[in-house]
Amino acid sequence: MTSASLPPARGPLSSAVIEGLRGADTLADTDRLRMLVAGCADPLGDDDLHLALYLIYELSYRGLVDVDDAMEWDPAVVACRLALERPFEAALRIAVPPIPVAADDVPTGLRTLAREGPGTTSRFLEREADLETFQEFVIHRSAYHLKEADPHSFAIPRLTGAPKVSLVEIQADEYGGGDASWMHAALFAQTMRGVGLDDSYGAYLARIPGSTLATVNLMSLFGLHRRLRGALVGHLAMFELTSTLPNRRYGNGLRRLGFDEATTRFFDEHVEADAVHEAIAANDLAGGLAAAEPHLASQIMFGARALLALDDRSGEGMLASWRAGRSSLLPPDREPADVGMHAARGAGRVA
Amino acid sequence: MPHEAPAVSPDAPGDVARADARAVPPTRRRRAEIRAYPDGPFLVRGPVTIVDGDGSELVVRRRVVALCRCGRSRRQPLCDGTHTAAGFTCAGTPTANGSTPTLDLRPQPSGGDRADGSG
Repeated sequence: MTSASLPPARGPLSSAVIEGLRGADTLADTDRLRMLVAGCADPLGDDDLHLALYLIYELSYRGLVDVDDAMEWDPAVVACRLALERPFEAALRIAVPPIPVAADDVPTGLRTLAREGPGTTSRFLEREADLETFQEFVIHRSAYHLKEADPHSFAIPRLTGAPKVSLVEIQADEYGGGDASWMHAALFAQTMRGVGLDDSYGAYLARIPGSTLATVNLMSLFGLHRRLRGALVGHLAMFELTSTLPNRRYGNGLRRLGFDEATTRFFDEHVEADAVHEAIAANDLAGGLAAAEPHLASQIMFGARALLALDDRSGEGMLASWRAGRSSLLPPDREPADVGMHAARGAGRVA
Repeated sequence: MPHEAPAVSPDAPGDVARADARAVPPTRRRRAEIRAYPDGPFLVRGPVTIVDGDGSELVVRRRVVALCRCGRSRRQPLCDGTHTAAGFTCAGTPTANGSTPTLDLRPQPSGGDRADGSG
């Protein structure tokens, strides 16, 4: 299956979206939607909001099983998407206040930020995680890596000249350099199978919490709005700059658990590939875009810092669960009552 | 450091191949290019053979290869990104505006917990 199936709703927003995508008129009442969105306590990680947004975004990637492809541009769906995006972006702007930066300083600024990562999640996976925990980590990552590189490809038609060439140089490598079996998404599927998971697209969507979906929605938000192309480029640069060390640790963790080279290849490949990509992304792509469009310099840094902020939250949530001996995923087949409880817990963690 | 587009004179088509070498994608060039990245690795584009310290030829699958410059990579002679965590700077590399290679990015909070501190 190349598309995800609609998962169970997690609250009123995802319920309205799921029913609306199935053809009901639940998205017609925009006042009600706006009210529900306004009541969302944690727009950076809410389970309900981020599932709703992830599903709408998925219409622009692979579509959804039993959902009409035309829903992507259905006015009610687009209006709902904008209503969901607004508090998400507003919360990001608060979490990551603007820092003025000169265009010339963008590459150095990105490298400086990249050095400050906590790295505790990757260290835990390298040294302590058991197989079940590692499987959970891979499930979290499947929300992105089964469509790895796709969000950033939305920047290609929005750039010109040298930065465009640099982005394509990176993306060509992400997509296997002419060999479909080396496409990073395909390598990730291989890792999923290797650790005993189902690699079909969206197989675990129902279990992935909002804090993780938010990290993917961030890329889609940046990718689907041309006005945010600077943030998208900054996001990619920071993704590459903070990739090699954690990926080496993930590969080591899998080797410690006894997995073979085919299963660790996704992580090993990222150590080698992203060492190349980070140099291109920080200097030629982000630095090149800042030189070409200096007014985007601080937006590039915003995209980079937004990634760090959401990745830290998501990683801290996983780690807190694992250290407490709990699952970091949503329980299967939850009752509606659990939805509110989980949301409250999530909000409490970050307050 | 973006690629610089060279000035090409449309009146001199015979000179284009030589004068416009930088506009030809390095991977299609007959000669390889090694480019030093600020505080980072050497990136190699174009047809090269890379041989490690034991004399074994490396299997190079990608079109662009990063060679370690900081000396700390555990995948020698390839770069593995360690230079960033190690705070490697290439002494004598001037930045475009002559500034030091780190930036004050306040209100970036100190420590590992960016999300809470900046919220």
